[in-house]
Amino acid sequence: MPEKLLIVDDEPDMLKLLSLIIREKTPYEVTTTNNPLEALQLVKRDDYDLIITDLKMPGLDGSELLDALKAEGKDIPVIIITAYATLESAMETMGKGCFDFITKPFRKEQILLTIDKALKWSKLQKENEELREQLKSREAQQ
Amino acid sequence: MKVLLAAITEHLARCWHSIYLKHYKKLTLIISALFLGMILLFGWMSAQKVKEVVLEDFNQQQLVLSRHAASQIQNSLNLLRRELLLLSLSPSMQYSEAVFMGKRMMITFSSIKDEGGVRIKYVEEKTYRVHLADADAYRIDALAHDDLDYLEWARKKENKGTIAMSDIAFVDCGEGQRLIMKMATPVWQSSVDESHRIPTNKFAGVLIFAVDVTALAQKVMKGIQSGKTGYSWVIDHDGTFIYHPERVFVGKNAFEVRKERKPTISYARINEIQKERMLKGQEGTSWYISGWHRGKEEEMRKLIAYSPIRLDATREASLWSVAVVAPVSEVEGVIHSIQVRQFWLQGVGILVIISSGLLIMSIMLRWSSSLKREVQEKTSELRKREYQYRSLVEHADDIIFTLSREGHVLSMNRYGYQFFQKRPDKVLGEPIADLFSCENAELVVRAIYEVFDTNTSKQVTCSVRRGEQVSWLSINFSGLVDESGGIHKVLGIGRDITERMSMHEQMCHTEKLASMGTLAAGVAHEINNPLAIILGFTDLLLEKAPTGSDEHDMLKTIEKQGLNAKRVVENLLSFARRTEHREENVDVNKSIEEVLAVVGNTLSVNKIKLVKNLARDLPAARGEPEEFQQVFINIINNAVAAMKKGGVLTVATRMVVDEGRGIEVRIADTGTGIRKEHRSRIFDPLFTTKKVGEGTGLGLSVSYGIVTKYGGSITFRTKTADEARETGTTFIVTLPAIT
Repeated sequence: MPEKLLIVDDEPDMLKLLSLIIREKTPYEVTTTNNPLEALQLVKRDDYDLIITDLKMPGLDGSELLDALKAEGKDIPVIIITAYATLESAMETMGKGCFDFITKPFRKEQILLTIDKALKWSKLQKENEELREQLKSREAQQ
Repeated sequence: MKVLLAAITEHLARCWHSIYLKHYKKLTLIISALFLGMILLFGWMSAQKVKEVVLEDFNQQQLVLSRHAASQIQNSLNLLRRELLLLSLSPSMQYSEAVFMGKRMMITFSSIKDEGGVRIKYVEEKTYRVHLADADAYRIDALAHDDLDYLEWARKKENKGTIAMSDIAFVDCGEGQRLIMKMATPVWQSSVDESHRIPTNKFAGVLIFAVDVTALAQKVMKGIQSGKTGYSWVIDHDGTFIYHPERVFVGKNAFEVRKERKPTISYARINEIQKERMLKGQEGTSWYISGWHRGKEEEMRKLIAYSPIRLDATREASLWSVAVVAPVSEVEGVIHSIQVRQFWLQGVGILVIISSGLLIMSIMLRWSSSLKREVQEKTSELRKREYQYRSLVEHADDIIFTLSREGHVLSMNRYGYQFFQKRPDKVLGEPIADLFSCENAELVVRAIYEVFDTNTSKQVTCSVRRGEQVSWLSINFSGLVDESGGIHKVLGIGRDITERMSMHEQMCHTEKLASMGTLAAGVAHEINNPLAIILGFTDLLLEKAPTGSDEHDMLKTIEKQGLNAKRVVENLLSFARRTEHREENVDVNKSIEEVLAVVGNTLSVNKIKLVKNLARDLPAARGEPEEFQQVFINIINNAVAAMKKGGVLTVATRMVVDEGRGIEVRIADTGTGIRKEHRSRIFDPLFTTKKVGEGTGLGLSVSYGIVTKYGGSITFRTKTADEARETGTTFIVTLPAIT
């Protein structure tokens, strides 16, 4: 079962570009939305393995989306892409637990590599958790 | 000139005032002394006048006395004359009636005895018998020598009825010498009596009276006393004393006897009076010098009043003169006491005046000295205050000056002269407008007029060109009010606000750049999005287009231009991204060396000679080496662009300690210079003089951002061909050094 990716950007063309790159270069399933508020709904409804979001958006920006996800208890890796990266914004979002910070314009290799890294990291996290669960249950059984 | 005149006038007034004060006391004293002297003089003069008047009055009284005496003597003489004539008319005498003759003569004698008559003689013509009647009795006497003379005179018919008066002479009358005058008259038988019923008219004889003139005069004169000690004397027509209180003088010639008595004194005056007036029958008053008075012997002045006695109206020379004299001292004695009293009164008056004057003067002096002290205190206080104000004005770091209504400079402090770089004589009295350029001068002059017209302060900001430098002044004009409440001067206080203005300019610039940065960030954001999309899709398409195909080339071009745009945006962002930096200690010389190594090839290609002048032991600067290098590269790139036909690039570093420790990097070119209209814009982002595609217009603005971020500054000096023969631009980058 392929990993599910959610891409959030207020610019539809950017969504189109990102989904095209991911679909062409990876086996992952892509869901896109240009409404960050809808993104939250989608996350609540479905389980996503990775969220790629723009930082500056109307309604809810990337940083706030991070807060909202944390509030929902969703531990999904988030990659933020932005057209105007400042050190402050990078520090802020990294501090909030975003996986990586990519500035526009980006090369497709850069985004693909980051996605890969994120998913691997996520997978490892999950495996780690599962193994820990198993260990816990086994300890419980013993 | 006006100022000079006013100064001279003031100086003169001050001098006069001091002279006036200095001599005021002396002048007052002199005037007072003169005044008192005049009072004394007038007092003395009036005393003299009084004396004169009193003397004159006294003499007039003496004249009355002398006139009275003269008339008394005259009366006595008249009586004698009458008695003589009466006796000559007696028939007993005319006819020599023996029984009655003696009686008649004795009767007459008794009548004339009191008037000085000594004896009566009758000499008969026929018999030459001499009948004599005197104090003893009537008798017949012997014929004397002069009797015959008289007889002879009487015999002459023309002498009938006349009286002959002899000169006076001393005659021994048995009781000593007496001064005798003889009076004779002819006796003619012209009367009738019982025995001679018809007159015979024959000459009978001569009747002679012997008169003691001294006794005659004494009878009158001894009762006459002028004043207390004054006396009188009588002289005859020869000047012989008939009567004088000093008996020794009687019978002696007045002209001689005085000289004999005291030859040391000049009797010219009395001699002249006697000769010219008294002996000529005049009446009058005068004074003369005498040597004695009533036993007192000394030279003295005497007042004299004199009157004539005419013995015979028919004979001019037959006269005596009565004189009443008194020493002036007698009269003066009386006056003197009055004068003394007056003098004392005056003296006391003057003393009172002087002492009160002195009192007033001392009070005034004390008052004036206390006043003087007060004035001195006030003056020194004022001087101190004036000095304070003056030093305040002189040492002020503001230009302080005063102006006349015409806008001419009346005064200016030292700082003002320094600021305008002019000597006082080139400023004082000259129009203030001369110190400013045309439009600023108009502004200043208008402000001065407004202050004079409306009496309100006025603030003016204007620029002043001093050599190459342009300075800014903020001047406050306010009116100086005089005693009458009108404005007589305008006070101007000007402050050099050049630094403030440049700071303001800098701030504006910084703010402009900051807003530019914000704008750039916005723009970058807006551009990066589409750029990302364009580049993204181009990337995807490039994979699909076969290499070498037209589509592939076109996509490559799109990608290239997209990447160009990306670079521009990156630059923009790096300019805007002020706060992002990580600092380290940078060796500025090393950074420069690295940059020069990179651009060395470019320089030699462009025929540019490099001159390096890097200071040793340069301290490190805080910052990012890459950023500093970017700054240097930007500036050197511009220099290279400015030297299209080659030139010299000078790169120098040095340590400056002007305002805190700093590192100065000078990058100078010999290029075309920056045109005037571009100079204010060269740090503006996106401003470029290069062709499209050759420059982004971000180099200097990015450099500016970097340098200011680390607390440094970047300035430039430039000269174009219009301004100087040697053109070129020098960029001066100052970076704070690590201390």
